[in-house]
Amino acid sequence: MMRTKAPSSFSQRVDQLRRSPAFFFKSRPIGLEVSHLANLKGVTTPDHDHHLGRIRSVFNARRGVTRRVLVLPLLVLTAFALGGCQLPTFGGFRGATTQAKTESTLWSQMVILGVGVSAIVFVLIVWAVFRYRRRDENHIPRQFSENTLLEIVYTLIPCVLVGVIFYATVIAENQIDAVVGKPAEIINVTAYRWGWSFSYASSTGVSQNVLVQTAAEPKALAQSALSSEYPQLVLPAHQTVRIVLQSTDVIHGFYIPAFNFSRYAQPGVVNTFDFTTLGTGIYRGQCAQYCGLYHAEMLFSVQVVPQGTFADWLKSHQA
Amino acid sequence: MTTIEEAPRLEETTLGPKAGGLYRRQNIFTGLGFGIFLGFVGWLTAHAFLQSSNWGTDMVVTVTMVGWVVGFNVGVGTFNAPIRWLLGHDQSYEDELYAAGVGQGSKRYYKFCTDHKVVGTQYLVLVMVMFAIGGTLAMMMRTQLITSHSSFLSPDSYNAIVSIHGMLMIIATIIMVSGPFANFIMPIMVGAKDMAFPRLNAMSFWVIASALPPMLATFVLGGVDAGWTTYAPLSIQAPAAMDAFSMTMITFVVSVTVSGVNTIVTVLTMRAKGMTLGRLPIFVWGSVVGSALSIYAMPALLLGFTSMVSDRVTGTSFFVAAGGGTGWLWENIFWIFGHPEVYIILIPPVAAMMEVASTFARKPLFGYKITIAGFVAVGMLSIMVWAHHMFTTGWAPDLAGPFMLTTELISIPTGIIFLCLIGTLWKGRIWTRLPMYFVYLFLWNFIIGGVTGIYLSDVPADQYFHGDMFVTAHFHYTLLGGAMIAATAALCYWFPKVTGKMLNERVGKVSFWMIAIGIQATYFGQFWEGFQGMPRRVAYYDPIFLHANQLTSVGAYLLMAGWLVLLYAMIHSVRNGSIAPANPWHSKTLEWMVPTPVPLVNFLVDPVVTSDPYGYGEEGSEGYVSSHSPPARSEDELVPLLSSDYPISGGDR
Repeated sequence: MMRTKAPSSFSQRVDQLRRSPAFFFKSRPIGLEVSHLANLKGVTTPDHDHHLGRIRSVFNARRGVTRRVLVLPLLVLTAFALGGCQLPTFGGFRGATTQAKTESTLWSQMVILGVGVSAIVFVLIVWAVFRYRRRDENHIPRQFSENTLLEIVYTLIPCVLVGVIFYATVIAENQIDAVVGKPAEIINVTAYRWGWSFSYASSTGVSQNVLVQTAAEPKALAQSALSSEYPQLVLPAHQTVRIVLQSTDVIHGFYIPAFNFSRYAQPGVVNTFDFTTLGTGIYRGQCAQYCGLYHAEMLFSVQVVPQGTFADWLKSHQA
Repeated sequence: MTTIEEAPRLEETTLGPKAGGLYRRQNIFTGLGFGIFLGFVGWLTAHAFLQSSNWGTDMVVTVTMVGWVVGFNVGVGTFNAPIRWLLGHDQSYEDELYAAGVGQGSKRYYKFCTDHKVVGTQYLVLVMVMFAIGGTLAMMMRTQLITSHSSFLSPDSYNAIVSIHGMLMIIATIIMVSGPFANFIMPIMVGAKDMAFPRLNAMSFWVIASALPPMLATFVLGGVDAGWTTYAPLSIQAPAAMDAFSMTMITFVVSVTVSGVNTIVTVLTMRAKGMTLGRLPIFVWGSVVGSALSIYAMPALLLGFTSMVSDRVTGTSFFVAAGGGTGWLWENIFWIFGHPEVYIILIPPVAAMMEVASTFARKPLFGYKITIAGFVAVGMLSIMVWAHHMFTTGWAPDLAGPFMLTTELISIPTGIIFLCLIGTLWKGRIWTRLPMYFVYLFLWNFIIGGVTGIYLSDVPADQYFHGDMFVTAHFHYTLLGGAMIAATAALCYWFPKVTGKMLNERVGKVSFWMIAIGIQATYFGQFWEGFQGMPRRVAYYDPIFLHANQLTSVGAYLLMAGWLVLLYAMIHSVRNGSIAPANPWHSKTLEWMVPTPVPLVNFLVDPVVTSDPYGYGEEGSEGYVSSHSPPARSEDELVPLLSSDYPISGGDR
């Protein structure tokens, strides 16, 4: 490795290396760059070369740069995804029920994973776009078209990722879908064009004949979902309630964004699921499945109130 | 070169005054006239005998639309040849030449023409017309949504526009590459003189062209009030427009199936000497996989819409719970078509774009075989994922896990194709012309579209996002940002071959930046709305979504303006552009080896292929032998060339 003019500073050496065809057309890994510098200083040892040779045989040094770029963020992100208890929600809802919180955590982990993988691919693209621009019209690049090891590696990595995502999701989904034996309240939700009715039907008899319905005739009211024009689904805080969902005419979607949940109300079908509420609050709800003229007006609100207030409300609404 | 110029060209044949028979008198206008006439006859008949009391009922509309479609195709000449054959007067050679457009100049573009290049050009114009209509509808929607309670559109016209925008764009994107480029370019790529079934090819175009007017007629028939997915029972109750819409879909299925069969048979039987399956350019493979998928998926759509018409017209109740049917049946049938459809849209443009990437990086396609395997795997997996559209319906909860797994698995071959694309650019010498800009835009958009797709395949996340704007943003990133941008790359790439003029790159780049920024603004805005929980297909919304919607609307205007600038660049270039050389990008595939404009039979001398299509290393050498180099080989010269490289066996050469 003789050079006619010795580079004077570290950055010059790196520069010289970068310009040398050996660097890009053989494209050595970053690890090798250091050894080159060592070579220039004349401190190379047989041991060192032997060691490098072994690394090359294991990792096929041509892809060293890519490898380095790939591994580090993955490690950081995995640590994030597994260790963090209060992950950022990336614009989603933190979740106002136990089920929604499970969903939210899964969503955050998946966004981290997704953004991590995208970032790696993006770096590869940007590198390719700028580094491999045509500079010399007559240069013909090396005509390689295969790399079996690389192809196997980038088939296996997604397989592992899919395995991880699938496992995590099945666990979360089972928690979300689980129903309790004896819910605190059973609410029959009926969707119709264009409104909702909520009828409370707990076995204790307290809530018999409590019915909340859309007050207004279908028209473009153009108000917020929290307006009293639309029906309110009142729920007790820190309780598990059961929703029994049906439709009388066409398919509707029972969608509460803050609960990270939606389910079809479909004629001829009864869908049943549980919500375990957390603290009190008021949330928007809306039909999420297109159902005709006033689809945009099929709003409702969800009000989670303390248990005492809930009992009083039930009494006051009994017919 | 001289040999080729002096060779007699079939298109310069002088035909007798009676060649072509009825074809001489037929064009798009006789089609329109006869279509309207037969539609009117259908209306009159149905009105008088079937449903005399009530104009505009389902029965009348259905019969009228059948009359229109059949009449238009009879009038334009689709059935001439089969009818003459049935009557015992088969077409003469001169008739066939006339039907291929000989001696008709630019008039042949308005006629039933069997020349695959004419059909391809007709498709290109049709697709642009459809995009123009669909884009205008999108602009109307975005104008309505620029404020939270706009009175620009009434809720019912907004709903009708949403539905037609959806399905019109789906149809347009399905045919946007398999129509223009699989017809114009693909036969030349495999070294064929035309498609395997030229008349079916022309038929596939005129049938789909006749499907467009019924779709637009829905606006005056009360509007399709059911969304593009037309979920039952809403669609069973919808106005009579739904019958016209169903006829559009049935007609469309006929066209796509016919063209799919044609593509596959062409590739299997019409390849040039030496064009083994392993030497097919990747775009040909993409077209074949796309066509195979459409042959699988389209019958489901046909079944669905036939049952739908039956439910509406004859009172059956396949999809009506009250009559013993179920809405789940429609959802299943629709998505058994609907998910492969996404890949019918995506695979051909992506394959076309890989040609672009390889040409401009001056490198062979990276991982040719694994890419083909990826396309096939995507196709096969895509027929097993449909129920991920039904995670929130409550249908078969135990199947949610398996369908989630198949959906996530599909990301593996997709990822492989994506990485092969990057591998093609890797260490290349990328000549950054306009088509490459669109390739880069595809790469960026498809990362976003692909990753958000994985979130949606995830059941819990899907319960959050199903039916809200997140889904809208996701599939626009994949179908517009992915497939349409890839198709635009292909368009810019093949523009010189199709039109004979170079595309004005300066204007093209202006449009590129407008489109690129427009897409990001529009669909980031929709992701934002989705996070906040705004449902799809709403004419009004809570003011908390206002800023996201305004971003989306402004982005959408910019996007549409970008497309218009690109359209201007194309029209301007066709009129005033510089003449394109036969092979402006120094590509190696066969379509660049034929002169521009392409002769009627494509190859004046039959091409012989001796290597794979991506040999950029051997500039000037015979990487991919064709009629041009050398132009006139004697049979004696060919024989050793043939025998050394591939076995001359099998009926397909």
